[in-house]
Amino acid sequence: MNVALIEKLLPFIVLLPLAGAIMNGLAGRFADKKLVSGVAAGSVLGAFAIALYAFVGLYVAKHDGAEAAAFSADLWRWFDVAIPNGQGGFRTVPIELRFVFDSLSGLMTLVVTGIGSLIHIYALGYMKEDPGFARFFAYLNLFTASMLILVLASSVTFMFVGWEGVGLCSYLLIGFWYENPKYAAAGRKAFVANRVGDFGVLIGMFACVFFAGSFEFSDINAYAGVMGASDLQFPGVASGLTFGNAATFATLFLFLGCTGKSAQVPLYVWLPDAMAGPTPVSALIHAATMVTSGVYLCCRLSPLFLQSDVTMSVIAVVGAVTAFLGATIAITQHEMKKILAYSTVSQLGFMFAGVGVGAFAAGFFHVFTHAFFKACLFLGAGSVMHAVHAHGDADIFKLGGMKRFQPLTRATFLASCFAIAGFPLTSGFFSKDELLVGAANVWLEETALPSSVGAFVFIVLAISAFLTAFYMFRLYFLTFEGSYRSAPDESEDPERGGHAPHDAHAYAAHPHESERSMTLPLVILGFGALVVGFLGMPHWLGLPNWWEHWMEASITNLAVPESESHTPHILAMAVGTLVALGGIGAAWALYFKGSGVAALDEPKKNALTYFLYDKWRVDELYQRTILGPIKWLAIQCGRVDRTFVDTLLTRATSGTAALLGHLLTRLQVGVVHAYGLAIVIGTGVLGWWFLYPHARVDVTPGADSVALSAGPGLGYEYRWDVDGDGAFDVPRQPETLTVAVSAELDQAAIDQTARRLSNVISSVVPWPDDRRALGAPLGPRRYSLTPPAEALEVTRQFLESAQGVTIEGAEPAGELFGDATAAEHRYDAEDHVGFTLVWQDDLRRSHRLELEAGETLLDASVLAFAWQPLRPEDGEADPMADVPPAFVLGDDGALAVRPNGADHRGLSLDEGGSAPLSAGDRFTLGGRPMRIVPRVRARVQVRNAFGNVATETVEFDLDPEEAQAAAPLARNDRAGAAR
Amino acid sequence: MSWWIGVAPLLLLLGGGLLIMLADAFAKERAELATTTTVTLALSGAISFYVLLVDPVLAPAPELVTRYLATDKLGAFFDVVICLGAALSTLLAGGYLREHGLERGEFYVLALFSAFGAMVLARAADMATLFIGLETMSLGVYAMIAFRRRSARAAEGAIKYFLLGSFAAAILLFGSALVYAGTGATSFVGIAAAMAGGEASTKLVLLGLLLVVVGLAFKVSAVPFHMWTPDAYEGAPTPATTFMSVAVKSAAFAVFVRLLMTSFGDPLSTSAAAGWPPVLAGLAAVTMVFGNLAALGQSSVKRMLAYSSIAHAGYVLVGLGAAARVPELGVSSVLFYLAAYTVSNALAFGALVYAGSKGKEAVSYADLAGLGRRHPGVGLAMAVGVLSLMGFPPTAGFFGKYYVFNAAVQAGGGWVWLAVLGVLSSAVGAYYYLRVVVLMFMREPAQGAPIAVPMKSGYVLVALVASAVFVMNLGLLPSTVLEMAVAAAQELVGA
Repeated sequence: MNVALIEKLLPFIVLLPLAGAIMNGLAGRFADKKLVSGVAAGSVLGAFAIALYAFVGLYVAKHDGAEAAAFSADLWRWFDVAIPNGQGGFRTVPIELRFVFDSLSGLMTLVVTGIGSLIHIYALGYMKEDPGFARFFAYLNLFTASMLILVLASSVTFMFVGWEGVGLCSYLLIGFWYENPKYAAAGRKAFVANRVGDFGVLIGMFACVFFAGSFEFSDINAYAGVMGASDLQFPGVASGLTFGNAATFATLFLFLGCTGKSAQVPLYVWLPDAMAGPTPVSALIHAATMVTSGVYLCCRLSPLFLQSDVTMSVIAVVGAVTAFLGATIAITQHEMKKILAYSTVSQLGFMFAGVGVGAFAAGFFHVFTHAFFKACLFLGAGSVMHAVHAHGDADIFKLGGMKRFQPLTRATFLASCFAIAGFPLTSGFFSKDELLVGAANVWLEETALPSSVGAFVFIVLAISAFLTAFYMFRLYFLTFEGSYRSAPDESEDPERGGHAPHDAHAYAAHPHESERSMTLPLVILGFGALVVGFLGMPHWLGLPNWWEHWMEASITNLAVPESESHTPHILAMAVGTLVALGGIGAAWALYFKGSGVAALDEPKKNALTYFLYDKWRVDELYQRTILGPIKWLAIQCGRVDRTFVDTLLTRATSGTAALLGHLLTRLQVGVVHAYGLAIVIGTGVLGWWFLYPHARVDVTPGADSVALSAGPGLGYEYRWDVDGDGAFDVPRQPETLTVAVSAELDQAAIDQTARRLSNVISSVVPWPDDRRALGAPLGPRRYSLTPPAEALEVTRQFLESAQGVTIEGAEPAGELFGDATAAEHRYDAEDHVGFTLVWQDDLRRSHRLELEAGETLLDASVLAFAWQPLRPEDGEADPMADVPPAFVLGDDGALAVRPNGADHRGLSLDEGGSAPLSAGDRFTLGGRPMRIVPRVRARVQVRNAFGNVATETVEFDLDPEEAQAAAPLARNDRAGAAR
Repeated sequence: MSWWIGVAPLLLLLGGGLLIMLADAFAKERAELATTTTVTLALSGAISFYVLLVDPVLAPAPELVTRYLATDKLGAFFDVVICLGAALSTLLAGGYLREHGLERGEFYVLALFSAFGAMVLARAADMATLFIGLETMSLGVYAMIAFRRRSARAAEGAIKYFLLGSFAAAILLFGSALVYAGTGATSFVGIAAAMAGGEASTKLVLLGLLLVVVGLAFKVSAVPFHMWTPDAYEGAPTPATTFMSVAVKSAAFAVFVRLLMTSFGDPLSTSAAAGWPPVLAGLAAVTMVFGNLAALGQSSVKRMLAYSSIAHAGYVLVGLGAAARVPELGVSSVLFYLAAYTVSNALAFGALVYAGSKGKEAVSYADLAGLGRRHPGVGLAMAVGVLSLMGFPPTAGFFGKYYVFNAAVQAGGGWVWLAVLGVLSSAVGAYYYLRVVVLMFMREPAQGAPIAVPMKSGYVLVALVASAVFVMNLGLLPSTVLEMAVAAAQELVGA
């Protein structure tokens, strides 16, 4: 076989039905019915052909010794997700769109496409008259494509696409005749019940990727052992608290999804209602394929499920209970499809019971055989309903004797009844036997699962099998044997003719056999129902069990010790045969022997019958306990929405907008003076912006100094007070110095000093015109001089060193603005204007608290641990005893902390119970790391061309850590601004 | 290629206007005037479109020309926008004037000269050219508003616009005088050079800049200098309203962009603390909010579109202000927005023209009730027009808004908040735009209410189809026009 060709063809198994769905969905209603039929059935048949080719290829490969052979086809990488890598970071997990065709998915693909093809062909006849012909086949093809994605997907995420797709199609097809509100409601019910399960699948999926680190089934299975061995812990929850093992967590949630999709207790309630859809849908989706996807998922992840005894036991018990529950309800129902639906619920229970006792292959074998006989039964029921023109469902008490009208249908139906009842040598016999063996093994042999579970499952399954045989033959006898109970009454007025039913609810008078496109699938499926069981014959009798062997590569079963005694096998086969024959016999005795007369009186109407007929009243229970309260809540929310959101929020907003609009419209007075006034006012407001300057300061902390910059503007001048002392430093401000000359200095010495002074100044700046710079007498022997700002420092130094001259005082000489928009300053202890307390919370976020002059009390939110008030030891009450910790900032700038009983480290307390602090100190108080950073102040003054002045003062913390953290950021900012 | 191609569109319009004026005196069949005018405008626009599309190497124009008129891509871009807007307006006039018995040749001559003035304004490189272009454009528009001579509303709108327009023109002129006094230059480049050289008197320049900004803000109808807009728009015949709202507004924004970016593009003039960007931001904020809120309260669709044009001026101002921080992005977004706005507004006004006939005009919301059902074609045109004005993808308006707000977001800082405000206020706008659609398609007219009956006119139909095609083209394939806008912006800001 050509492997490359197979892998190239693989995507087309999905793409063909998908293309069919798109074609029929978009153009179907304009197209000829024949074309629609061709596209619909042809695409699925094509997919079947490819699947068959691939399957043969797989068979040959296995035959040649490649046991684990599988074909795979990559489409493309869907997306990447980031998951925690366990070291505080993240790693990327790719999600590939990949198909894998191995022994498990290959077989399931064959079932889906093969039985799907038959049902498509059947539906061509069945839906012939329906106006929604093309829509039906578009949905059905879309379903097939989704189901194939579900089956062939290599990863749990991709599978989930199919999982949701089949759910959607199921919803669409159940509500296919959506004009009937009951049918539409059934669709909704199915969708909602499935959503509950889907939530479980999502959680399970996340758990898988969280623990196993991959979405691929193969990776998860390979990692199953680790998941089974690892305790479940969640980050952020205190350690020591575990929740069982990780596998239990993941599988329980996955199984929740299975209970939804595969109709198990407690979420099975949607499946019986789902019979509202057309019968081919019931056969394909709600019997043969979609509802078994839960079992398929369990088989796919069988190594993982096996890691959790808890989950396995839960599955086994849930499955057995479902099997029993479905069977008991089916006994009392009146309608063909209802009975078959509960039968499906019950059979799915069988499968899960098998999965639960570790017999995955057996469970899947039952999926396989069930697909044949249940599809055949549904199609047979459809054929009967088609023949008698029953709509929706057919009451078996109004039928009977159908074997005369529909020999072919009857034959296939009977074959399938034998199969589902487990009559020896039919397919159902073998698969059910395998399930019972699985349960008996757990019961009687030494396995990892508790034997009580095995015993329970075995007994319940045996009872259910008996009930199955009973209700199936009840259905068969009432439908096909006896006489037709809707036949026209001979005494009726002949004018009303043969077609006139003799009561309002009776069916067509003269049923007929269905057309060939419907009977052909019946024959094939019926034949299959009889023979496919031979694929899995009991190995212990020395017969070849092809099935077990084939599945070994993909499914891991529960380990059962080799044992010489065949007790479980003998027990299972004996019990299985007995209950099947017993059930058939009981039905024969009740519904056939007395030619059905006794049976027609419905069994005694006792409380139990009613209880079963009402389906255990589970729907009512759900209605009372879950749906009712939710509906109540929904109504309340609706009320809130109407009164609060719609009325208050919506109307208030729109009302405000409308009112504002109305008011603004009123401004439009229509008088041209007013318009002119508006222009004048507008000009005034804009003019104000230009007339007055706007001061703004940006602070950029650097490594060892702080850079300050002011917003520039047209015609702006600036001056800065960078150290916060109240005097402007940049540019340097001129000062007027008052100088006293001592009496000892004579005029010549004074002149000489003045000359030298002028030399000193002019060495720094050219001598200014202003005479005051040189100095002016203030009286005898006192002078004032205003040196240029640049030369102030040298002037001072000269005067201080000059003989007989003393500086009496200095005063600001005026305001000097410069064009320096930026200033830089290194702050020291003298520049501090206060302190800020920086503390970190549990998440290492920094918080700041400005310490005011006086006391700053800390509240409990700042302290990590509860603060314990001081207990005075000498009996004398300390007035400070219950005052919380506080920082005390004195007027002299001294800072101290008084912990007052709070836990602290890194503080040395003095006798008064407080510790002195200074900038840069680090300590722990109440469990919180804290540090003290100094606060400084800077001021800029801006003067614009109109001479108006604006002042802006900023206070900021000198925090070296912040500076470091912000440094790269700040550089980027500046770089950005430069661009 | 000769530099003449740069001014050829202007000359073509001038010559065409003179010829049509002559023809009007002798011709009997007025309708041909509409065709001739439209063709003249289309040709003129096509020349500049060719320049933008092919980007030929032009010989440098003599200094005598460039001193007064810019021959750059920005000018060419606005040639196209103004000619397109004017051509669509004259097409509408071709149907409207005949239908309403106003068929007189002056309208086309006025439209041509006014468009000529608008193009001179858009290409102005000197304060003098600016003023001449502004007045040439405005005088024509005053007359066009008053075209319905017997209508009191028309006269009221025209006189109001005239009075206030003169006032604003005086302010602008005084502003340019102050700038001249401060810098000793009237050309835009000269002003920039004087400021860069430091010999300008900041005080005078600031006052001059203030007054020039006020004058131009008046022309683009930014709040609070907008008050003439609703009255003038409502009083004018609808084609004239269209012309005003697209050609005049575009030209005013063109010179706004050019003046600010050329003369006052230095870091000090564009500083966030003391330059014009905060002024424009404030104007934009007030204009967007006011325009949209006031449009809510209108019952006349024409008046609603007047307020909506105010709101749109606000959006453009956002882009213009952001140009201070991100010049290329800001300017190109303004250009694209004006192109998108021109076709969208022409479509909406065109549909309004088409929806009414003599005595049965569509003016108020009530007139539009059920129109979309009765006349799906008109309804569709109107719907596309208002959806584009609303900024609904994939129409021209969507990308216009997107680029403008994108420029604001890229500018960062406070501009982001301005973009947020813009988006919020355009959400308010959705109400009154969608109201048109709802009324047209989901309501029936009240019993006995007058029903607007669409006119039959090939001119209007052509205008509608053309604008609709442009609207969808700019929405689906914005790249060609955007590239032109970017090229023009790059040339202007010297990137």
